[in-house]
Amino acid sequence: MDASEMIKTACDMPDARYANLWDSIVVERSIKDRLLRSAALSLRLRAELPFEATALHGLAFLYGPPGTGKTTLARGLAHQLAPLTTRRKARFIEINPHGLMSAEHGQSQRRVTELLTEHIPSMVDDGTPTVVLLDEVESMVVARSQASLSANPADVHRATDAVLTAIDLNGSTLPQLIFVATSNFTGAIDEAFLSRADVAIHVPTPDALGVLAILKTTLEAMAKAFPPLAQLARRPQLEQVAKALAGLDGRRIRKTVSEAMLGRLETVIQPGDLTVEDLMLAAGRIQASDQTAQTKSGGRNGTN
Amino acid sequence: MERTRFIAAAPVRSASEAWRVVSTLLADTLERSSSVPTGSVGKELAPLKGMGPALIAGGHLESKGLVLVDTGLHLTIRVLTADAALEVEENLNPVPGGASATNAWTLYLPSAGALDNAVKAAVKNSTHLSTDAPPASAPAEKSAGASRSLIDVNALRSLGNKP
Repeated sequence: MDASEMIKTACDMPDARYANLWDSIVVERSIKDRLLRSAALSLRLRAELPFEATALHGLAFLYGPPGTGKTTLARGLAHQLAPLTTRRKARFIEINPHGLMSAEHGQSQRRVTELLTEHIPSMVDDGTPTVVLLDEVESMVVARSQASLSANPADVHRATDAVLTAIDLNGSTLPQLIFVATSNFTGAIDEAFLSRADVAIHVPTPDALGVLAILKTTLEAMAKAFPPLAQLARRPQLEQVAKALAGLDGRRIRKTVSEAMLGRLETVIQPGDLTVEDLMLAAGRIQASDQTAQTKSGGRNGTN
Repeated sequence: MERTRFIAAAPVRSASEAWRVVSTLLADTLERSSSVPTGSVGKELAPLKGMGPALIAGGHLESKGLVLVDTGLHLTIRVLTADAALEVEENLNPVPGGASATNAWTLYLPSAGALDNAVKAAVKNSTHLSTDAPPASAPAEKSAGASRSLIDVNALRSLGNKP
Protein backbone atom coordinates (compact mmCIF):
# COMPACT_ATOMS: atom_id res chain seq x y z
CA MET A 1 0.00 0.00 0.00
CA ASP A 2 1.20 3.48 -0.83
CA ALA A 3 2.24 5.60 2.15
CA SER A 4 0.12 8.45 0.80
CA GLU A 5 -3.02 6.43 1.55
CA MET A 6 -1.98 6.06 5.19
CA ILE A 7 -0.71 9.59 5.74
CA LYS A 8 -3.25 12.38 5.55
CA THR A 9 -0.87 15.30 6.11
CA ALA A 10 2.87 15.84 6.34
CA CYS A 11 4.24 19.36 6.59
CA ASP A 12 7.04 21.37 8.13
CA MET A 13 6.43 23.92 10.86
CA PRO A 14 6.15 26.79 11.37
CA ASP A 15 3.39 26.93 8.78
CA ALA A 16 1.01 29.87 8.46
CA ARG A 17 -1.92 27.51 7.89
CA TYR A 18 -1.45 26.12 11.39
CA ALA A 19 -0.58 29.37 13.16
CA ASN A 20 -4.02 30.13 14.54
CA LEU A 21 -5.23 26.64 15.40
CA TRP A 22 -3.82 26.59 18.91
CA ASP A 23 -5.32 29.95 19.90
CA SER A 24 -8.63 29.18 18.23
CA ILE A 25 -9.40 26.49 20.79
CA VAL A 26 -10.87 27.88 23.99
CA VAL A 27 -9.91 25.59 26.86
CA GLU A 28 -8.39 26.08 30.28
CA ARG A 29 -4.87 27.40 29.98
CA SER A 30 -3.59 24.44 31.99
CA ILE A 31 -4.64 22.01 29.24
CA LYS A 32 -2.54 23.72 26.59
CA ASP A 33 0.32 24.20 29.05
CA ARG A 34 0.40 20.51 29.95
CA LEU A 35 0.33 19.38 26.34
CA LEU A 36 3.07 21.73 25.20
CA ARG A 37 5.24 21.11 28.26
CA SER A 38 4.88 17.35 27.98
CA ALA A 39 5.98 17.46 24.34
CA ALA A 40 8.94 19.72 25.11
CA LEU A 41 9.96 17.65 28.13
CA SER A 42 9.70 14.42 26.18
CA LEU A 43 11.97 15.79 23.45
CA ARG A 44 14.37 17.16 26.03
CA LEU A 45 14.68 14.04 28.18
CA ARG A 46 14.53 11.35 25.51
CA ALA A 47 17.24 13.03 23.43
CA GLU A 48 19.65 12.97 26.33
CA LEU A 49 18.76 9.85 28.29
CA PRO A 50 18.07 6.25 27.39
CA PHE A 51 14.56 4.82 27.58
CA GLU A 52 15.53 2.82 30.66
CA ALA A 53 16.08 6.08 32.52
CA THR A 54 13.06 8.07 31.35
CA ALA A 55 10.42 5.37 30.69
CA LEU A 56 8.95 7.90 28.25
CA HIS A 57 7.31 6.58 25.09
CA GLY A 58 6.73 9.97 23.47
CA LEU A 59 2.97 9.48 23.57
CA ALA A 60 0.42 12.08 24.68
CA PHE A 61 -3.24 11.14 24.89
CA LEU A 62 -6.08 13.65 24.60
CA TYR A 63 -9.54 12.46 25.50
CA GLY A 64 -12.95 13.96 26.04
CA PRO A 65 -16.32 14.54 24.36
CA PRO A 66 -16.49 15.20 20.61
CA GLY A 67 -16.09 18.77 19.44
CA THR A 68 -13.93 19.99 22.31
CA GLY A 69 -10.86 20.76 20.21
CA LYS A 70 -8.63 17.72 20.84
CA THR A 71 -7.72 17.23 17.21
CA THR A 72 -7.21 20.95 16.60
CA LEU A 73 -4.91 21.21 19.63
CA ALA A 74 -2.89 18.26 18.38
CA ARG A 75 -2.67 19.83 14.92
CA GLY A 76 -1.51 23.11 16.43
CA LEU A 77 1.06 21.53 18.75
CA ALA A 78 3.88 21.17 16.20
CA HIS A 79 3.56 24.85 15.28
CA GLN A 80 3.86 25.80 18.96
CA LEU A 81 6.77 23.45 19.42
CA ALA A 82 8.83 24.67 16.46
CA PRO A 83 10.20 27.87 18.09
CA LEU A 84 11.23 25.87 21.17
CA THR A 85 13.46 23.48 19.26
CA THR A 86 17.14 23.97 18.63
CA ARG A 87 16.46 23.84 14.88
CA ARG A 88 13.54 26.27 15.16
CA LYS A 89 11.46 23.87 13.13
CA ALA A 90 9.25 20.88 13.63
CA ARG A 91 7.21 18.56 11.48
CA PHE A 92 3.57 17.52 11.63
CA ILE A 93 2.27 14.21 10.30
CA GLU A 94 -1.36 13.15 10.48
CA ILE A 95 -2.22 9.50 10.05
CA ASN A 96 -5.33 8.43 8.22
CA PRO A 97 -6.59 5.69 10.58
CA HIS A 98 -9.14 4.48 8.07
CA GLY A 99 -6.40 3.92 5.51
CA LEU A 100 -4.77 1.44 7.89
CA MET A 101 -7.60 -0.90 8.68
CA SER A 102 -8.48 -3.58 6.18
CA ALA A 103 -10.94 -6.44 6.07
CA GLU A 104 -8.34 -8.51 4.25
CA HIS A 105 -6.64 -11.03 6.50
CA GLY A 106 -3.35 -9.82 7.95
CA GLN A 107 -3.44 -6.51 6.11
CA SER A 108 -4.23 -4.24 9.06
CA GLN A 109 -1.26 -5.50 11.03
CA ARG A 110 1.02 -5.29 8.01
CA ARG A 111 -0.04 -1.75 7.21
CA VAL A 112 0.34 -0.56 10.81
CA THR A 113 3.79 -2.12 11.06
CA GLU A 114 4.86 -0.73 7.70
CA LEU A 115 3.64 2.74 8.55
CA LEU A 116 4.95 2.99 12.08
CA THR A 117 8.25 1.15 11.72
CA GLU A 118 9.20 2.04 8.14
CA HIS A 119 7.47 5.11 6.70
CA ILE A 120 7.32 7.28 9.81
CA PRO A 121 10.91 6.50 10.94
CA SER A 122 12.09 7.23 7.42
CA MET A 123 10.29 10.58 7.42
CA VAL A 124 11.86 11.63 10.74
CA ASP A 125 15.29 10.28 9.84
CA ASP A 126 16.67 13.81 9.54
CA GLY A 127 16.21 14.30 13.30
CA THR A 128 13.58 17.04 13.03
CA PRO A 129 11.23 16.99 16.05
CA THR A 130 7.99 15.56 14.72
CA VAL A 131 4.45 15.35 16.05
CA VAL A 132 2.42 12.45 14.67
CA LEU A 133 -1.34 12.68 15.16
CA LEU A 134 -3.23 9.44 15.68
CA ASP A 135 -6.76 10.82 15.53
CA GLU A 136 -9.65 8.61 16.66
CA VAL A 137 -7.07 6.16 17.90
CA GLU A 138 -9.74 3.72 19.11
CA SER A 139 -9.94 2.43 15.55
CA MET A 140 -6.28 1.39 15.72
CA VAL A 141 -5.91 0.12 19.28
CA VAL A 142 -9.05 -1.81 20.08
CA ALA A 143 -9.26 -2.85 23.75
CA ARG A 144 -8.36 -6.53 23.54
CA SER A 145 -9.83 -7.26 26.96
CA GLN A 146 -13.29 -6.11 25.86
CA ALA A 147 -13.26 -7.29 22.28
CA SER A 148 -14.62 -10.68 21.38
CA LEU A 149 -12.84 -12.73 18.79
CA SER A 150 -16.13 -13.35 17.02
CA ALA A 151 -16.99 -9.69 16.67
CA ASN A 152 -13.41 -8.49 16.32
CA PRO A 153 -11.36 -10.75 14.09
CA ALA A 154 -7.89 -11.75 15.20
CA ASP A 155 -6.58 -9.30 12.63
CA VAL A 156 -7.80 -6.39 14.74
CA HIS A 157 -6.03 -7.81 17.80
CA ARG A 158 -2.84 -8.20 15.84
CA ALA A 159 -3.12 -4.60 14.62
CA THR A 160 -3.29 -3.48 18.26
CA ASP A 161 -0.19 -5.56 19.00
CA ALA A 162 1.56 -3.96 16.05
CA VAL A 163 0.81 -0.45 17.29
CA LEU A 164 2.11 -1.28 20.78
CA THR A 165 5.28 -2.83 19.41
CA ALA A 166 5.89 0.18 17.19
CA ILE A 167 5.27 2.64 20.04
CA ASP A 168 7.81 0.76 22.16
CA LEU A 169 10.37 0.65 19.39
CA ASN A 170 10.01 4.25 18.30
CA GLY A 171 9.86 5.47 21.88
CA SER A 172 13.29 4.06 22.59
CA THR A 173 15.01 4.71 19.26
CA LEU A 174 13.52 7.93 17.87
CA PRO A 175 13.61 10.66 20.52
CA GLN A 176 12.58 13.26 17.96
CA LEU A 177 9.21 11.55 17.49
CA ILE A 178 6.09 12.36 19.52
CA PHE A 179 2.73 10.72 19.04
CA VAL A 180 -0.43 12.56 20.03
CA ALA A 181 -3.46 10.28 20.16
CA THR A 182 -7.03 11.52 20.49
CA SER A 183 -10.24 9.70 21.33
CA ASN A 184 -13.84 10.16 22.44
CA PHE A 185 -14.02 6.54 23.57
CA THR A 186 -11.43 5.80 26.24
CA GLY A 187 -13.22 2.60 27.21
CA ALA A 188 -12.69 1.18 23.75
CA ILE A 189 -8.92 1.68 23.82
CA ASP A 190 -6.50 -1.02 24.78
CA GLU A 191 -5.22 -0.69 28.36
CA ALA A 192 -1.64 -1.38 27.31
CA PHE A 193 -1.80 1.57 24.92
CA LEU A 194 -3.16 3.87 27.63
CA SER A 195 -0.45 2.76 30.05
CA ARG A 196 2.18 3.82 27.52
CA ALA A 197 0.88 7.39 27.40
CA ASP A 198 3.34 9.76 29.08
CA VAL A 199 0.48 12.16 29.73
CA ALA A 200 -3.30 11.75 29.48
CA ILE A 201 -5.16 15.03 29.25
CA HIS A 202 -8.92 15.40 29.57
CA VAL A 203 -10.37 18.06 27.27
CA PRO A 204 -13.83 18.83 28.68
CA THR A 205 -16.75 20.81 27.34
CA PRO A 206 -16.26 24.50 28.11
CA ASP A 207 -17.60 26.18 31.24
CA ALA A 208 -19.80 29.32 31.05
CA LEU A 209 -16.82 31.63 30.57
CA GLY A 210 -15.46 29.30 27.92
CA VAL A 211 -18.78 29.29 26.07
CA LEU A 212 -18.84 33.08 26.12
CA ALA A 213 -15.27 33.27 24.83
CA ILE A 214 -16.06 30.85 21.99
CA LEU A 215 -19.14 32.87 21.00
CA LYS A 216 -17.15 36.08 21.01
CA THR A 217 -14.25 34.71 19.00
CA THR A 218 -16.65 33.21 16.45
CA LEU A 219 -18.49 36.50 16.02
CA GLU A 220 -15.24 38.45 15.86
CA ALA A 221 -13.86 36.12 13.20
CA MET A 222 -17.03 36.56 11.13
CA ALA A 223 -16.89 40.32 11.67
CA LYS A 224 -13.98 40.46 9.22
CA ALA A 225 -16.56 39.94 6.47
CA PHE A 226 -19.60 41.39 8.28
CA PRO A 227 -18.34 44.24 10.53
CA PRO A 228 -21.57 44.77 12.57
CA LEU A 229 -20.95 41.38 14.19
CA ALA A 230 -18.01 42.92 16.09
CA GLN A 231 -20.53 45.08 18.00
CA LEU A 232 -22.68 42.05 18.69
CA ALA A 233 -19.62 40.28 20.12
CA ARG A 234 -19.37 43.06 22.72
CA ARG A 235 -23.00 42.94 23.85
CA PRO A 236 -23.30 42.02 27.56
CA GLN A 237 -26.46 40.02 26.77
CA LEU A 238 -24.23 37.40 25.17
CA GLU A 239 -23.74 36.06 28.69
CA GLN A 240 -27.36 34.93 28.64
CA VAL A 241 -26.78 33.14 25.35
CA ALA A 242 -23.69 31.52 26.86
CA LYS A 243 -25.75 30.27 29.81
CA ALA A 244 -28.30 28.81 27.43
CA LEU A 245 -25.54 26.94 25.63
CA ALA A 246 -23.98 25.47 28.78
CA GLY A 247 -22.97 21.84 28.37
CA LEU A 248 -22.44 21.98 24.62
CA ASP A 249 -19.07 21.32 23.05
CA GLY A 250 -17.04 24.00 21.30
CA ARG A 251 -17.98 22.86 17.82
CA ARG A 252 -21.70 23.10 18.56
CA ILE A 253 -21.25 26.49 20.20
CA ARG A 254 -19.54 27.85 17.10
CA LYS A 255 -22.28 26.47 14.91
CA THR A 256 -24.85 28.31 17.04
CA VAL A 257 -23.90 31.50 15.20
CA SER A 258 -24.68 30.08 11.75
CA GLU A 259 -27.75 28.35 13.20
CA ALA A 260 -28.92 31.77 14.39
CA MET A 261 -28.31 33.29 10.96
CA LEU A 262 -30.43 30.74 9.18
CA GLY A 263 -33.34 31.49 11.51
CA ARG A 264 -34.35 34.47 9.37
CA LEU A 265 -34.02 35.06 5.63
CA GLU A 266 -32.85 38.62 6.40
CA THR A 267 -29.80 37.34 8.26
CA VAL A 268 -29.03 34.84 5.52
CA ILE A 269 -28.98 37.78 3.10
CA GLN A 270 -27.20 40.10 5.53
CA PRO A 271 -25.46 38.10 8.33
CA GLY A 272 -24.29 41.33 9.93
CA ASP A 273 -27.89 42.01 11.04
CA LEU A 274 -27.74 39.14 13.53
CA THR A 275 -29.11 39.97 17.01
CA VAL A 276 -28.85 38.56 20.52
CA GLU A 277 -32.45 37.43 20.14
CA ASP A 278 -31.51 35.40 17.06
CA LEU A 279 -28.76 33.75 19.06
CA MET A 280 -31.07 32.99 21.99
CA LEU A 281 -33.62 31.36 19.67
CA ALA A 282 -30.87 29.32 18.02
CA ALA A 283 -29.55 28.22 21.42
CA GLY A 284 -33.02 27.00 22.30
CA ARG A 285 -33.31 25.07 19.04
CA ILE A 286 -29.90 23.45 19.49
CA GLN A 287 -30.57 22.43 23.10
CA ALA A 288 -33.97 21.00 22.13
CA SER A 289 -32.41 19.10 19.24
CA ASP A 290 -29.67 17.74 21.52
CA GLN A 291 -32.21 16.57 24.09
CA THR A 292 -34.17 14.78 21.38
CA ALA A 293 -31.02 13.10 20.09
CA GLN A 294 -30.03 12.04 23.62
CA THR A 295 -33.46 10.61 24.28
CA LYS A 296 -33.31 8.58 21.07
CA SER A 297 -29.82 7.27 21.87
CA GLY A 298 -30.75 6.43 25.45
CA GLY A 299 -28.48 9.15 26.79
CA ARG A 300 -25.32 7.36 25.80
CA ASN A 301 -22.10 9.26 26.09
CA GLY A 302 -19.01 8.14 24.21
CA THR A 303 -16.52 9.20 26.87
CA ASN A 304 -16.05 6.85 29.75
CA MET B 1 17.62 -1.67 14.51
CA GLU B 2 17.92 -4.63 12.18
CA ARG B 3 15.82 -4.37 9.03
CA THR B 4 15.34 -6.55 5.99
CA ARG B 5 14.24 -5.54 2.52
CA PHE B 6 13.21 -7.93 -0.19
CA ILE B 7 13.75 -7.29 -3.91
CA ALA B 8 12.16 -9.32 -6.69
CA ALA B 9 14.36 -10.66 -9.48
CA ALA B 10 13.34 -13.19 -12.18
CA PRO B 11 10.66 -13.53 -13.40
CA VAL B 12 9.63 -10.04 -12.20
CA ARG B 13 12.79 -8.37 -13.50
CA SER B 14 16.15 -9.45 -14.87
CA ALA B 15 19.19 -9.88 -12.63
CA SER B 16 20.73 -6.69 -14.06
CA GLU B 17 17.57 -4.71 -13.36
CA ALA B 18 17.34 -6.18 -9.87
CA TRP B 19 20.93 -5.15 -9.18
CA ARG B 20 20.09 -1.62 -10.33
CA VAL B 21 17.19 -1.61 -7.85
CA VAL B 22 19.52 -2.76 -5.07
CA SER B 23 22.10 -0.11 -5.96
CA THR B 24 19.46 2.60 -6.05
CA LEU B 25 18.07 1.54 -2.67
CA LEU B 26 21.56 1.67 -1.15
CA ALA B 27 22.31 5.07 -2.67
CA ASP B 28 18.91 6.53 -1.73
CA THR B 29 19.38 5.33 1.84
CA LEU B 30 22.97 6.37 2.46
CA GLU B 31 23.08 9.58 0.45
CA ARG B 32 20.36 11.12 2.59
CA SER B 33 23.19 11.64 5.04
CA SER B 34 25.31 14.76 4.74
CA SER B 35 28.33 12.55 5.49
CA VAL B 36 27.83 10.49 2.33
CA PRO B 37 28.32 12.60 -0.83
CA THR B 38 25.78 12.32 -3.63
CA GLY B 39 26.94 9.84 -6.24
CA SER B 40 29.58 8.30 -3.98
CA VAL B 41 27.63 5.10 -3.29
CA GLY B 42 27.30 4.31 -6.98
CA LYS B 43 31.07 4.79 -7.41
CA GLU B 44 31.78 2.47 -4.47
CA LEU B 45 29.49 -0.19 -5.92
CA ALA B 46 31.13 0.04 -9.37
CA PRO B 47 33.43 -2.97 -8.76
CA LEU B 48 30.28 -5.09 -8.46
CA LYS B 49 28.76 -3.90 -11.72
CA GLY B 50 29.18 -7.30 -13.33
CA MET B 51 29.36 -9.37 -10.17
CA GLY B 52 26.13 -8.11 -8.59
CA PRO B 53 23.84 -9.44 -11.36
CA ALA B 54 25.83 -12.68 -11.34
CA LEU B 55 25.23 -13.12 -7.61
CA ILE B 56 21.52 -12.53 -8.13
CA ALA B 57 21.26 -14.85 -11.12
CA GLY B 58 23.03 -17.56 -9.12
CA GLY B 59 20.58 -17.18 -6.24
CA HIS B 60 23.37 -16.18 -3.83
CA LEU B 61 21.39 -13.25 -2.41
CA GLU B 62 18.24 -15.25 -1.70
CA SER B 63 18.86 -16.60 1.78
CA LYS B 64 21.69 -14.61 3.34
CA GLY B 65 21.62 -11.49 1.22
CA LEU B 66 23.71 -8.36 1.29
CA VAL B 67 24.17 -6.71 4.66
CA LEU B 68 24.69 -2.97 4.97
CA VAL B 69 26.15 -1.93 8.32
CA ASP B 70 26.83 1.48 9.76
CA THR B 71 26.27 3.26 13.04
CA GLY B 72 22.68 2.57 13.98
CA LEU B 73 22.03 0.82 10.66
CA HIS B 74 21.87 -2.91 9.97
CA LEU B 75 20.09 -3.70 6.73
CA THR B 76 19.82 -7.06 5.02
CA ILE B 77 18.81 -7.01 1.35
CA ARG B 78 17.60 -10.31 -0.02
CA VAL B 79 16.91 -10.73 -3.72
CA LEU B 80 14.26 -13.35 -4.43
CA THR B 81 13.50 -15.33 -7.54
CA ALA B 82 10.82 -17.70 -8.84
CA ASP B 83 7.58 -17.97 -6.80
CA ALA B 84 9.02 -15.92 -3.95
CA ALA B 85 9.71 -13.05 -6.35
CA LEU B 86 6.10 -13.09 -7.51
CA GLU B 87 4.75 -12.94 -3.98
CA VAL B 88 7.10 -10.42 -2.36
CA GLU B 89 5.86 -6.93 -1.52
CA GLU B 90 8.76 -4.60 -2.10
CA ASN B 91 9.49 -1.51 -0.07
CA LEU B 92 11.94 0.55 -2.08
CA ASN B 93 11.77 3.65 0.12
CA PRO B 94 15.02 4.77 1.76
CA VAL B 95 15.70 2.76 4.88
CA PRO B 96 15.29 4.55 8.23
CA GLY B 97 18.66 5.32 9.79
CA GLY B 98 20.27 6.27 6.49
CA ALA B 99 20.07 10.00 7.13
CA SER B 100 22.54 9.67 9.98
CA ALA B 101 24.91 7.29 8.14
CA THR B 102 28.64 7.91 8.34
CA ASN B 103 31.13 7.57 5.55
CA ALA B 104 32.33 4.37 7.22
CA TRP B 105 29.42 2.29 5.96
CA THR B 106 30.21 -1.25 4.84
CA LEU B 107 28.35 -3.59 2.52
CA TYR B 108 28.99 -7.23 3.34
CA LEU B 109 28.60 -9.80 0.56
CA PRO B 110 27.71 -13.40 1.31
CA SER B 111 29.79 -16.38 0.27
CA ALA B 112 29.03 -17.24 -3.34
CA GLY B 113 30.37 -20.71 -3.99
CA ALA B 114 32.20 -20.82 -7.26
CA LEU B 115 32.05 -17.02 -7.53
CA ASP B 116 33.83 -16.49 -4.21
CA ASN B 117 37.26 -15.79 -5.61
CA ALA B 118 35.88 -13.46 -8.26
CA VAL B 119 33.91 -11.53 -5.65
CA LYS B 120 36.91 -11.23 -3.34
CA ALA B 121 39.03 -9.97 -6.23
CA ALA B 122 36.38 -7.42 -7.16
CA VAL B 123 36.17 -5.91 -3.68
CA LYS B 124 39.75 -6.24 -2.49
CA ASN B 125 40.60 -2.56 -3.03
CA SER B 126 37.35 -1.22 -1.68
CA THR B 127 37.00 0.38 1.74
CA HIS B 128 33.21 -0.04 1.72
CA LEU B 129 32.77 -3.59 0.37
CA SER B 130 33.68 -6.70 2.30
CA THR B 131 33.40 -10.45 2.04
CA ASP B 132 33.89 -10.90 5.79
CA ALA B 133 31.00 -12.14 7.91
CA PRO B 134 28.84 -9.14 8.85
CA PRO B 135 28.51 -8.13 12.50
CA ALA B 136 25.36 -9.40 14.17
CA SER B 137 24.18 -5.90 14.98
CA ALA B 138 24.91 -2.30 14.12
CA PRO B 139 27.61 -0.45 16.05
CA ALA B 140 26.01 1.61 18.79
CA GLU B 141 25.40 5.26 18.17
CA LYS B 142 27.44 7.74 20.14
CA SER B 143 25.97 8.31 23.56
CA ALA B 144 23.26 10.88 23.68
CA GLY B 145 24.29 14.23 25.03
CA ALA B 146 24.09 17.93 24.66
CA SER B 147 25.08 17.73 21.00
CA ARG B 148 21.78 15.98 20.29
CA SER B 149 19.60 18.36 22.25
CA LEU B 150 16.32 18.91 20.50
CA ILE B 151 14.95 21.63 22.76
CA ASP B 152 16.37 25.12 23.24
CA VAL B 153 16.23 25.69 26.97
CA ASN B 154 16.31 29.48 26.58
CA ALA B 155 13.34 29.34 24.23
CA LEU B 156 11.61 27.15 26.75
CA ARG B 157 12.18 29.77 29.46
CA SER B 158 10.35 32.28 27.30
CA LEU B 159 7.18 30.25 27.79
CA GLY B 160 7.13 31.46 31.36
CA ASN B 161 6.92 35.07 30.16
CA LYS B 162 3.85 34.54 28.03
CA PRO B 163 0.61 35.95 29.45
